[in-house]
Amino acid sequence: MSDTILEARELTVRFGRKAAVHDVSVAFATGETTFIAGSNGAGKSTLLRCLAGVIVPDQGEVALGPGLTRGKIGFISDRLSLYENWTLQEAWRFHKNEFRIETREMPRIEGFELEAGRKIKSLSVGERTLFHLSLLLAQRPAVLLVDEVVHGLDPFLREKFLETVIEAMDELKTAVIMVNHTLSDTAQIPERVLIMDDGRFILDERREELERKVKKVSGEGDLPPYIPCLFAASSEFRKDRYIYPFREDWRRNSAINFEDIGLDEIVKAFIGGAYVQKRVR
Amino acid sequence: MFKKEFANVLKQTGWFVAAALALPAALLAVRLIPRQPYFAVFLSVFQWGLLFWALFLGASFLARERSQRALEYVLTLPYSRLGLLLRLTAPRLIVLGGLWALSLCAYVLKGNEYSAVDPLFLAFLYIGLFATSLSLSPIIENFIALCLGSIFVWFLAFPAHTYLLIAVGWAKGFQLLPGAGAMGLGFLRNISYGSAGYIFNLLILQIVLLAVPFSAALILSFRKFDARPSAAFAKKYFKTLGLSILIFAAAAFVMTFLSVSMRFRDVYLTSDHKVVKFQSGGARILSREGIRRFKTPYPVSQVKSADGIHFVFSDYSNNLFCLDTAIAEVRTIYRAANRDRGIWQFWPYDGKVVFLVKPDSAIVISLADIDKPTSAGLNVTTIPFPAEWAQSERFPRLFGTGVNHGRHFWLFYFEQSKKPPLRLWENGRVEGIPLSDHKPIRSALYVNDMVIIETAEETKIFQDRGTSFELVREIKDGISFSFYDLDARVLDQPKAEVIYGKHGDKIAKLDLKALQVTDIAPLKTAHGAWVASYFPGSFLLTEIDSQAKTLKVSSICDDKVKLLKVFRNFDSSRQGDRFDVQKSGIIIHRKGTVNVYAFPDLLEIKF
Amino acid sequence: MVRINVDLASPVPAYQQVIQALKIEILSGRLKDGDRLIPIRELAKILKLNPNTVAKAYYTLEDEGFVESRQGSGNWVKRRALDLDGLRRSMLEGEAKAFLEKAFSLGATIEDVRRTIERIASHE
Repeated sequence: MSDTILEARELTVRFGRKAAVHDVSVAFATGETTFIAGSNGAGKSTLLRCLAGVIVPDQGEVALGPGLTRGKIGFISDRLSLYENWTLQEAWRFHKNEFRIETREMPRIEGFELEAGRKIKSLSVGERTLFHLSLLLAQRPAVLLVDEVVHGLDPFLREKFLETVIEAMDELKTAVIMVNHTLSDTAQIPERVLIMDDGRFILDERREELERKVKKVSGEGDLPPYIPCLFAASSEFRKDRYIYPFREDWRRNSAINFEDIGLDEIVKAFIGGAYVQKRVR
Repeated sequence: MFKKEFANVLKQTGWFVAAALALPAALLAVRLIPRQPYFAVFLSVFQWGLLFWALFLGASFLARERSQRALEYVLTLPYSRLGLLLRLTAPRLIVLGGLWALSLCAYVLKGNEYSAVDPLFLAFLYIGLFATSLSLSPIIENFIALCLGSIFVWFLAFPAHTYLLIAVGWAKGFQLLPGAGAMGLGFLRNISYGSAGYIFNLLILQIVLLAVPFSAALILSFRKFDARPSAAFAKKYFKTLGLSILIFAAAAFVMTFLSVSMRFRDVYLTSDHKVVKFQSGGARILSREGIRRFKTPYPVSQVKSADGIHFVFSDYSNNLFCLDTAIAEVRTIYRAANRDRGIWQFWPYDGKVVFLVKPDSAIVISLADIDKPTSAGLNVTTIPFPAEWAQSERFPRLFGTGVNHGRHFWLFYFEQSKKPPLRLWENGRVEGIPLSDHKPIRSALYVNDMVIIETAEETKIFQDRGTSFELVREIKDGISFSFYDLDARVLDQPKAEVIYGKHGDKIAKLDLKALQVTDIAPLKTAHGAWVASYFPGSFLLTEIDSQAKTLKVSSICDDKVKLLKVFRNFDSSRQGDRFDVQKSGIIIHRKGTVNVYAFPDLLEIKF
Repeated sequence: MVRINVDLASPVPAYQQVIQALKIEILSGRLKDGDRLIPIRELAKILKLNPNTVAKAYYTLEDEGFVESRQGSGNWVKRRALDLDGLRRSMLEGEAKAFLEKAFSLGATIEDVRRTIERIASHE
């Protein structure tokens, strides 16, 4: 088990009276890739911002692992916060000075060129995202915090973005923590999956474990009561039940067809289940 | 971060300085402002403009980040919150300090030619306003709301503290709360750096009172600052703010409480060697028989000795009283009818006191008899000042009085003004004294039916011809003959043969028959030396040596200078050290202690 | 260029698919002895996989003798002469099993299957 590089301890963050993050504790290891998914308003962005130091938690603390400094943490969000009136060159020079980056030339993303003289506010969302990413990677970060930026990118930039992050994962052994809930082609990237709902974690598993433990049962037929159903989606033409946690011996002992499903569907099942629980409550 | 911020602040300040210099330059060029020395105009604009700039510098904290949506980015920079606060605030403080230093240089360079606001006082205002707006800027996001809010808080806290602290005095029985008309000129006139008045200390405390709690609140709560509209941050901020304001208000409270009784100590020596002390709450007569105390309903503002037995004093409610030390009684001479009728200046002489009252914008001379018993009622005659003279921007100074063909007249000059001096007759007629050079008058004297006026470069002598004054002599050798008029202590001077004065770096005498100035003796140094006649017939030379810290008093008589006494440990640069020559002795204030020395030998009187 | 496609919907884990695909490339001869394998980082970028996943696949291939990793220069194909046929046979069996499962689930008989195979093979 690698060392813990970043840890949240009993974090609570309130917006007004409501707690967006409620007593959350989680530790991230060096080089670990984690995805955080959850329903809208579950507190994912807030948690990420706490880890980034942008939000100061009302209770609890964020602990940096041995050797980790704030300068080695990169944070990018869909708010794309940068000084809008600056040119790319100015932004790079500022960033370089603040984070003590040694390279002199502006960092580039392969296959994606931007004129250094353009102003940040003139960039499209996608261009800005990639530019910001390039700034962060120039820091050679040990931790990269990414908040829901991938969905807003066009397919070309999306691929560029992911490829760049994967490269950093390999070259720098950066621990990547990404808030992402429409996984699609990124489903194979995370090693660990966290799902949040209502300010708390409802799931914290390794991806392979999760793929093992969640199965789908389609079609009619009742399930024996000992089989835990996480979430059931049914309509006139379809009835899907998601089982968690699944045990292999059930496959042998019953005639039910347990299907393996991808991470996408797994996440959807958890979020759906959380919604159901909320309604019940 | 610091360098970027510094560069940014400098750039914006550049615009401010350009505007501060360009605007008056443009107005002057177009002759919109009446011809005044350019320097004075620039200095004023700069000084007051700097106040707005202080507000802006504080309010612009985080403004750029907010408007350019960079706040989250800035919070990810590898600094602690306090480190960030420091890097953003330091450039502002440096620039503000630099600009203030610039205005200080300009102030020093201007010399005594023009008046401008004391830069130290302004520094406190700048710091107070800067700290307030800086502190409020993380809380209030809208820039305009922030500026208005800061100004509001600043002005609200200001008088609020004043009244809070005055309430202390009320509780203490001093009734510090000013009465009719006191919030006008009289009360505020005491605010000056040089005076040891408690009012100034009050103000300083209040400005500091604003700066410190607001700064403390910001520093202590900024650790919790983040991009969301955080309840935690706001809570911590206001808690710290409230707490620090309470602490400092309490400190100010206590300090003022303790110091109030120590302020405004004016000490007088009566002609029968009693000591009279005036304090804000009243007066005390100390004699061998013991101490007699008198309380006044309102704080005492000005005191003048009439004849060494009677002391005329005014209060902040603009009433006029007479303290008769012989019978230990206070008599009311004049009672202000309403807020507008304030005592403006008063001069006792010859059993009367003449005083200026200012109902609406007119000036009225009033005369009252000091000696009439109270039961006979107040006896006040009034003569209106002519309207156009009442419009004068400066105070009129009474420097002489006399009677001509049975009619009383009074001689006035206007301090530092271009208006010539004038004679006002009791029937209201006004006569100008033909001083045409528009130079500020330093002093004036009426003696031997002559008016002697000293300006910066010359001394002119006018002879009274009964209905007008005629210039009979000009002493114009480049140095003026200066005689210190001391607010014209004695209005009705008896005939004299000579006057002694300072002529450059020598003591000289002005022969009043020949109208000639002859040098008598050299002065060790002209600066710090004064020749003055405190009472008719007696001339004293007082020399202050700021290096040796001594005060030397000598008498001048028969063209000879005789050393009377050297007083040691007298530091004119120390606030509160001063000397007061009265008819029967000299009172010296040194480092808070008061010593009384009686003429003719200046032996100390102890109580 | 190497033909590797990862089917995300498949129940087979991605790294297994990578291993299978690379084995096929090597066994078919498209990747020859001494050829350099695409670097871990590049394969991860193309397939949108975690580099650790790709690394795991390469380690497995190394364990099974298909590949050797050289310090600093990446991974290189190394074919073991022996048991090639055995490997080929076991892979073929695996593919056949999967195919037959699908065919039978369609309702075909073993006769249908044999006839179909012969028809397609004769056309090639």
